[in-house]
Amino acid sequence: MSKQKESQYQTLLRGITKRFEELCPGCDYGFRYTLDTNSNPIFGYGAYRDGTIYMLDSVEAELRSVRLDTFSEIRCQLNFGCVSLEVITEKGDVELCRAEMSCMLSLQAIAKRVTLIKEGRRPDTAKDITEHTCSTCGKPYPRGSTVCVNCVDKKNLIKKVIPFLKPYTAPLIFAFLAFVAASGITVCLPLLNKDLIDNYIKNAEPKNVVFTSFIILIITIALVELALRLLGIFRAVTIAKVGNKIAVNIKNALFVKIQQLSIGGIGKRSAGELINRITEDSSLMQEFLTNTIPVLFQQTLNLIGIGIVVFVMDWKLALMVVFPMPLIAVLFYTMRSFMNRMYHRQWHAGSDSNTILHDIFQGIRVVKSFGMEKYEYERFDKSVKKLSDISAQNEVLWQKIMPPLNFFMGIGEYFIIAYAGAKIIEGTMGFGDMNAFLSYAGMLYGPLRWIAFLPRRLSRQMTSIAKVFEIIDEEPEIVDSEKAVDVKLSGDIEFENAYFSYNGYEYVLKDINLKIKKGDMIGIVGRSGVGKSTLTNLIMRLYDLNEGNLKFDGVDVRNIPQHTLRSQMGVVLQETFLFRGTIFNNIAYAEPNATPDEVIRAAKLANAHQFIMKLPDGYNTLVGERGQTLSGGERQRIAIARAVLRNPEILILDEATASLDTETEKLIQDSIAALTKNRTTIAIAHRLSTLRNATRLIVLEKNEIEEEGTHEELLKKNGRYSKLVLAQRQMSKLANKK
Amino acid sequence: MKDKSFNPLAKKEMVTKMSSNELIEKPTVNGSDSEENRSFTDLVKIQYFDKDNSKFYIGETGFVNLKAFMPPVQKDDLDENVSEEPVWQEIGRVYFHRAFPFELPEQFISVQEREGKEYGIIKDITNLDDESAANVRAALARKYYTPTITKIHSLKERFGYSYWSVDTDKGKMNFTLQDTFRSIAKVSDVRLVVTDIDGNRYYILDAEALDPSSYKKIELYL
Repeated sequence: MSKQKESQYQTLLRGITKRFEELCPGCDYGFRYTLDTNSNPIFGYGAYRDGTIYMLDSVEAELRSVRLDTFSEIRCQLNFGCVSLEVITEKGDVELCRAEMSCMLSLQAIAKRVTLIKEGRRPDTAKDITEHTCSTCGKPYPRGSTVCVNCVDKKNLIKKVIPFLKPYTAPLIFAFLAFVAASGITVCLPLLNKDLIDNYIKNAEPKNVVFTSFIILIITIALVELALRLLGIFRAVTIAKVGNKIAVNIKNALFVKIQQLSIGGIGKRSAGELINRITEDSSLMQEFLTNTIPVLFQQTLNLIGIGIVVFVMDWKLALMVVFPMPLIAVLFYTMRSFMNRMYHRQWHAGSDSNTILHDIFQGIRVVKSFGMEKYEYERFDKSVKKLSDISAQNEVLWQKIMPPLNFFMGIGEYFIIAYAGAKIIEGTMGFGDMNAFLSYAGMLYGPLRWIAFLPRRLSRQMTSIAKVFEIIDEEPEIVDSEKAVDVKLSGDIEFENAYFSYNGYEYVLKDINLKIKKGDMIGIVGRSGVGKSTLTNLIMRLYDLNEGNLKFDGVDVRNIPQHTLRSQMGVVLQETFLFRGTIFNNIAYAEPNATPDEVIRAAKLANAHQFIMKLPDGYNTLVGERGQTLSGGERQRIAIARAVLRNPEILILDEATASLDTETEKLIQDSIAALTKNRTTIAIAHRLSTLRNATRLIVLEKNEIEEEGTHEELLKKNGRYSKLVLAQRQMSKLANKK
Repeated sequence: MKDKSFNPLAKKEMVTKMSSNELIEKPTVNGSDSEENRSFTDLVKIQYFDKDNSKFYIGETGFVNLKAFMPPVQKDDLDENVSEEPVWQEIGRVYFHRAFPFELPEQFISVQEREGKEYGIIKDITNLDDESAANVRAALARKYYTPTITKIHSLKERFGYSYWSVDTDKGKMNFTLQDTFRSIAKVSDVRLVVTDIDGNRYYILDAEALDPSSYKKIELYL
């Protein structure tokens, strides 16, 4: 039903689009919109041609047009549950159209494209993502992914999986043979039992029994059972070994790829999402290769084998075995969705009470200091009771449902007994035949139960495989050019008409022209969000410029291998990250061969030696997760030591001393000043006193360089910088008064 | 136990808190007395807009503009314009943002400039003159697009997504939720806010007042 409705929307939209194209052919950058000015649903379509945006919708019969030169700016205004395209004209802001959120990406795209055209540049439309849903089937993409599971070429996916199996061809073939053999034996066992019963146990004339052959038959049955177990062990061991090796290969391939991707590529996904891909998605892929496929294979073999045997033995009886199967399949199918709903609720209740626990223990200081223990206890008690209620309900229901269900599953057996019993009484069938049939019937239901759950399992695994290969197939955005050659940097940096934007739509840096000479200390000032950190990210080439050039010693950054470039830089960020390990390891992170002497020197320079020596374990103190907790200032000093140990040509300090007290900061600055004599330093700071050693200051405002010069020059200029200095002085005066 | 009238308690609390703030707006004569009784939160001054100090009117291009009697708006925080003396001034186009979109849709509406800097707050739309109130309500309706679900025709869950087909006050709609359980926020025991995969919001004003077949479909997620 939903599909029908969707297609109805699509027909209407196509109608509008078609009329639009008749009225106004040859347009580019089409976009749709869905609401009128009073937020009532409509169908609208717009596009761009020759400096004009045209729009047509189901309410206004006329084609509307807006010339690009009538407005100064176009933007996509994000509202609450809807977006609108607005332009700023001389008379004021004008709304062009509005739409619900599904159109957000395409409206942002048109705003971006028109902005670029207005600035006289060419929009690069290939990279734009304009929809959250698959364009072919309208189904949403999985979270954090742009591969539609519904439409992805499944055969192609399987083809991609095969290379992971290739190194293990031999063991896999053995495992395969073991599967076939096991199936064969499974099918034969009831036949042997039949022989045992008919010819020996139920033999009408016991005197005729040859005792030795009776013993031989028993031994054969035992041996066959043993062979089956051995085959099972062999198969399980092979699959386990190969499966784990494959899992390691998949995980490594993913990890290597993720590290290769640029920060921009990684940043599209959250850390949790990436961890999920490496752990869960790759496990599901492994499960698919080593569990689903072999079991599917074996169950199919069993089904076919048993099917053939029972039909050869007695086709009427076979029909009786097969007859309840569709019924049971349907039963399993309905049970499945019912069970899912049942356990879904339980799972959510469980996860809710976990969340509460997590919340309380993480915030235990707050809970205790506000004296809210009782309130939290009540909250927890409520959620636990809810969980136990649901669990009890489910348990009771389960106990009520399962026994009758098992009875129904076994109902086929009564038919078999009735039919075969009658025949035995008649004397046309042996007791062993009936026994064999009963075991075959039982053996058929196992695969059936498994197959009933197969679609869900397969779709989960396919989704994961698609997500794994989405990453493995992704091209890194930042690549070393083929001409790239290793160079020794001297420290000259130059930005030429640089433009940069994270989303390709809102510029974070515009028209940046900046020459930094070897040995300069450049201070970057400006309010938060103005692009200061972005500027340093660009210098490290974590991102590539959208336009313009960035050169080191006159060499374009794209012609320097990323590793060479970054190995000659030292970076200290405001948020310092310490890896799990000792302080020594953390300082020597980028220079694993550093001697203790060098590490201590670096620590002294960063003013960290003193506090490290106060720790009982000195440089061997464990830090990071589950290690010794260090204060923000201490962590920052370790990070500074880490950066200076590398002896970099270019030192980047992004609010590197923000968590330090003024005294320590001054000490560190003095040592850094000595260090940076012949090195290029780029420092970002909110506290202006931090930048007093800077040879030049850059004031960023509205994503552009507003002022540039030395401290004195900027003070004389009486612009933004001098106002900032004044404001900070007033603040410190106030502080002193108190 | 279920508060169908949805959070009357929160409302009451809010009102009492507010009234103590009002003391600050219009200081009483014997200031020394109230000085001692002041709580921390009373120390904050809020620029409230009402019918005496503001006019919200529709500008030439269809957006709501503000003319207000308030201290001069500083375009730049570093300007040394320290005058606190209120004057009548044209602010231009303003943007509205509800502080409590679910609980108090008509109260505490922040009036902002384009980048989100706040000019002041409308404590209650009814404090404005009729014309301004109508204009603000229209602007809010345009910003907060939230169809109200009146009937659920079908709700199918497949592989972590749920596909909905519903009737709303804006007509028939289809949408998809990712992680259904988390996409349905419970504002009160019966009032729900549903957020779909694109970020559209839908209200269910009273889940229990829905027809039985609709209620049965969402019961699992409550």
